[in-house]
Amino acid sequence: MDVLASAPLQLRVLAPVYFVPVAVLLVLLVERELLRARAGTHQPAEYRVIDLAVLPLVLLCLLFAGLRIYSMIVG
Amino acid sequence: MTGVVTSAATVRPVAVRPASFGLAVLAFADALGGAEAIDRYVGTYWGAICFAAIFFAVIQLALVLDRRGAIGDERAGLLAVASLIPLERLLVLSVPSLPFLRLYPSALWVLPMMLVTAYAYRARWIPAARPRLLGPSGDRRWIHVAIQVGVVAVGGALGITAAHTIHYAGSHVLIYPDVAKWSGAVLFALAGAIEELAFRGVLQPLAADVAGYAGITACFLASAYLAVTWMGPGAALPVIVLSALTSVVVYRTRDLSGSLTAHAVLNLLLVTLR
Repeated sequence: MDVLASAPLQLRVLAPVYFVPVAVLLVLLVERELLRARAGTHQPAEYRVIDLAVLPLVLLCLLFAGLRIYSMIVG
Repeated sequence: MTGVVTSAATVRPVAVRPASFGLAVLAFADALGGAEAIDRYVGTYWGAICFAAIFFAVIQLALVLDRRGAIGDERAGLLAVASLIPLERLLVLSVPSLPFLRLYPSALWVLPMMLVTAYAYRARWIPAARPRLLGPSGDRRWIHVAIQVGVVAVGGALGITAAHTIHYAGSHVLIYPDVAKWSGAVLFALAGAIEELAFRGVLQPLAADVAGYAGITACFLASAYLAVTWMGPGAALPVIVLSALTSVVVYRTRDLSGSLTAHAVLNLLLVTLR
């Protein structure tokens, strides 16, 4: 119980390699937002290339999160 | 005192010629080889970082071409789709392993790869005419069907041969009483079909448009490289033989049904009969 209270997500027990695609996804999402800010309301064509890279990483992160929640609930 | 006379020099912008396809492929292969070496000798974490860096760099190059208005050009599309190669390695290295999948615990990478491959196959902005998922209907339909059935038969034969010849120290599939073992087997089979869709369905038409037979060869080598790094050289040999066959068949018939089924059947037989 104390462990859960001090580190509820227990991220330190995860292997560091799991965070590599998450970091790439965050950088790409920031880049996508920068493109949107530069283009205003017009959706830039570069979105198509970024979406190609973002889609699988988003799904991977959802799988990470789902498995993490499942393992924390079930134990 | 000596006077210094300078001549007026006109600075002209130098026209940049695009690198040849062979040089680009060589540079890409060098980068992937370096990442593989780091993965093997330094560790999985640093290998994954290298593949992530290559993936990110390829996406940035595709974005640069896009900003220059070159999208719609085969080279820009090819560059964007070529990012699937380091992406697959990144996914294979970084997905969590699930023991309950039994036959193939690290099969989760198949799901994101399936999503991005389907997106790339359906994307209108990526040029080149993709092969069809089902064959044509017409006078020569039966010849096409016979060719596809032949490819599936070759895939099945290779799967049975590989299951009986490749050394495997693990347990047989029927040892496990749970039903979840079949999830791993299905994902393993699905991985073969997805690789065919990615390489024969999306990457090969673009590479063939850009560089002809050299592009098809490069695409085949890329799929062989991924098979070797994923399954090991021994288990990858039947997959490489099948990939060589499907490269030719898909290029000639523009039909993916046989190659998708054959690779899935090969993987399924390999994982269940061993």
